[in-house]
Amino acid sequence: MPVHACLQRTLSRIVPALPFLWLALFFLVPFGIVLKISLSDPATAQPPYVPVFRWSEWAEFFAALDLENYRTLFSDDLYWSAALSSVRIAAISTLLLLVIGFPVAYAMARAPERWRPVLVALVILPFWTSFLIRVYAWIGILRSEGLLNQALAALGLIEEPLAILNTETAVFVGIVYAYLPFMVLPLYATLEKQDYRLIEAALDLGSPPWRTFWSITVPLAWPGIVAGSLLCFIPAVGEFVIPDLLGGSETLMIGRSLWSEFFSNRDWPLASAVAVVLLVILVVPIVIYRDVEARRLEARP
Amino acid sequence: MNTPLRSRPAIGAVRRSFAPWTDPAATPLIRFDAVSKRFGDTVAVQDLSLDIFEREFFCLLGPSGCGKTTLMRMLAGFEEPSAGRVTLAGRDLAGVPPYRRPVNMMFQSYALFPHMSVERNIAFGLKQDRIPKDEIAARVEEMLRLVQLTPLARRRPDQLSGGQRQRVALARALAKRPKVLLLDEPLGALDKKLREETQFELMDLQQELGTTFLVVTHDQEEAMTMADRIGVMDQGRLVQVATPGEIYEQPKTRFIAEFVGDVNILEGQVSGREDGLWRIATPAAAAPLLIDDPDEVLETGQGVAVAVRPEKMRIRHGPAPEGLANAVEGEVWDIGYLGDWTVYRVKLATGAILRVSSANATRFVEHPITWEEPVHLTFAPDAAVILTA
Repeated sequence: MPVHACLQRTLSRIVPALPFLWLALFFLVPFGIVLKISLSDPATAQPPYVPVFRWSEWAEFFAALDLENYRTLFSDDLYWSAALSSVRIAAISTLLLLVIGFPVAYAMARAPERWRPVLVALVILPFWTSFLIRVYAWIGILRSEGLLNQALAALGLIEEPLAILNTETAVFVGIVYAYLPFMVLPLYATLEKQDYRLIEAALDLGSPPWRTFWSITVPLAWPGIVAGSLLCFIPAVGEFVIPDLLGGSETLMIGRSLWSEFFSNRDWPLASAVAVVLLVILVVPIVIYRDVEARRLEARP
Repeated sequence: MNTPLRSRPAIGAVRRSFAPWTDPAATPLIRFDAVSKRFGDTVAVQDLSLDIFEREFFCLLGPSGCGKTTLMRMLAGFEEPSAGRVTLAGRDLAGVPPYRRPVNMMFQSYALFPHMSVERNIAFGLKQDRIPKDEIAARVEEMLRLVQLTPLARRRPDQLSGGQRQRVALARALAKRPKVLLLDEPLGALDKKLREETQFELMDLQQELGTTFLVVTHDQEEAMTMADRIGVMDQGRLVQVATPGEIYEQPKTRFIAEFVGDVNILEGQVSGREDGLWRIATPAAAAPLLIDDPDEVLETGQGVAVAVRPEKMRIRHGPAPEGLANAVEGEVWDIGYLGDWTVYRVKLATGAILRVSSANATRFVEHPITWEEPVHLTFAPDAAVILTA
């Protein structure tokens, strides 16, 4: 059946192109637009920037584009410190997530087999509620007359309420809480696959449990550690909702700068420049990850 | 286990000069003393006592689930006995964690560390002892040479063949020079040819190093080839501990006779004793069988099983001549030509099928036996064993 075969061949060529098409349509094109806006000048108009794209005036169009916004960005301390503080907060949060997530994932992977699906379901369960509502709930817990302070006061541990809300601590609490599943699930996936005989073999060869953990369990969980850390670090850098709701006005994060440039200042070109810089900050860890992964795969035949 | 053997020269085909288990003054290296192990409701090992001596090559043989691996894991320290004691060189091992026991194990799956090269796998145990670096390197070098893997030192486990991985696992377990090496189905993952070669390599290695080997296997051929002594286990109990020859030629129970090698079982009743031979009446033969098994104590009328190995029977054309002792008549049901042996399956009038094997000592046969031909089988009185259990 030549028609059928021909159709099949065409299809089999199209199918691998689909993800590229998807990425082109929903990432590359929007990114191109943002990039273009970031090179434009602000204007009081609709849309609020010039030049607006017109096919007829190519030369004029390109002449009007410049790096002015990037110059502003790099000359203004505010954006620098926002970017730095974003990276710092995301890095500390990722570390905290790893420290909390690893034991959770390890306990899940070592739980009796019939319990594991239930435990995985419990980890995912918070997603059934809106992210925004869950972050709002933390306001109720963390504020000075909130649940946490009431509980601590009732236990007699504190006399004055702790000021947690509107501090960086609250941001860490929020990020760790919201992102924990993204850390736990990849870790669980690698730990669950791990052959327990390897641990036994290490013990048998004279390695005590703690040393075995560092020499066998952690290195073998490395792909999960990297995946979980990136899944948490990347969105945490650009996080807007959590610092906005829990962090108070002093917590500088690049996501917030982006938001205020777009919506408060209506400076779309500058906001777009911030978005492009944010993307560059995030691309670096992804490239590192790809490199690590490629080397790991290369070591196999 | 060692029943005094009458005037028989030697049981099995091998005479052993190394036999500390026959010396009442010898102290065992490993002692399982009334050891039991329960997992919830299931009993994996039940009230088991066993002595293993220094330099011995001991095989635990049994079907899967018989408790042999559990017994080994109790020695390695991965399981604690529910009752009884395990001692090594006189020291009670209760509560001693696996990383403080002077035994090393070679795992069935090899359990090589996938993120380490061959050398680092072998060096792993040595590093735990904080041995100086150059000494570790020297020992790793020595181990690599021992298992002939020197050129592959920097490879990772997933770049090795099954046989090479097995040798890395062996080198890793031997690197610390343990008092006892535990091997869990060491050849299970290898193909037949490689398995046979490796059996002899393991035996040579054990001779050379003088390490006590404890092997767990379900493969009776493997156990027979390698072991000084075999302990046959069934349902958590040790049913017989003896040399391979004794296990094969003088099995204590029907389970052992059937598990180790092929065997024909003829059910019958004791009908008396004459000239030192037991008379066993069986529906399979016209005249009572005469069996030379002087160690058995039997009563007339007692139900017994007569066990005869296929290679200890002769097959002849036609019905049995008048007055021939231990003759069973039947008809050829199946013939399997294996090259070195031919195996005949003979159906008796009772419906039972017996196996007879005969060595093909010549290339040509005048009157070959053929399908559906009436034949008779005979065996010498001392070729059979009487089993009561």
